[in-house]
Amino acid sequence: MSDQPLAPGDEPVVIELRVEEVRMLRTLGEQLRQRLQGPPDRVVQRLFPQVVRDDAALDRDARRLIHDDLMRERLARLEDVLGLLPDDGAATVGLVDDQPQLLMGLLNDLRLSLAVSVGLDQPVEERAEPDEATEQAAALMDWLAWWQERILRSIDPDALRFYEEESDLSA
Amino acid sequence: MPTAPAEAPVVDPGVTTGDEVTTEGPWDVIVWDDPVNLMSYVVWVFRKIFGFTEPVARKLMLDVHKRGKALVASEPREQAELYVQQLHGYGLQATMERSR
Repeated sequence: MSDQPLAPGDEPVVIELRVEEVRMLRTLGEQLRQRLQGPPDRVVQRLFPQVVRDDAALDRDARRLIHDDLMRERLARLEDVLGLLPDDGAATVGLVDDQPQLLMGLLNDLRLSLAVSVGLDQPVEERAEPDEATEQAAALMDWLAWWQERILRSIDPDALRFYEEESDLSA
Repeated sequence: MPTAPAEAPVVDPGVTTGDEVTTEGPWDVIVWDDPVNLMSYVVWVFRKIFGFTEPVARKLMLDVHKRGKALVASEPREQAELYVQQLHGYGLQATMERSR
């Protein structure tokens, strides 16, 4: 990837994870790995969406072109991030180089996977009445979102500025 | 349809391959609204991939949020594919289509 660095300071981004947080990240990561390596389901379809609009043949070719690269990236990102964590127990991790970005991407994959698995990726008006599984998934998504924005505060605080300045975010 | 930001990369209308010049025009990269991705995360992804300033990234994110989509780049096909791949890698729903 030729991503451009943001705030490439030398200071590591330090995150402290409680024992249950480490366990949950490992559990969700393992579930994601199984989905990525299993037969395509709705989660995989969401993570590898349409590429070209209005041209099915071109879309098929383009997806084929980028699918393997994207799959490798996703699996490598998963392994790299889980490799930062202890097998069990609490952890204090100093993220350096591209590690904060890798963690951001993985946390987002986990949020998307949870959302799709319980239908929270659908428009609000089309969702079923929330059940226990949906509420659990939503709580985990909130936890992952908290971590995403905690990391953003370190690597790109400007990305959070609109929260303070936009008074009306409704559609 | 939102317009491309001033900071969007310059469009190259043709690709030279030896003595031949293809006449295929640019492809638009469009990001679609998604009820899951955080708005702050989308701003960050736009800044990271395209190098946009925060106001430009914010405007495009709000276009996605309020209008359902935003045009984030208009590029030759290969570059457009690369952008879509990067956006998909970060979990955004992005597509490409021929510029009209």
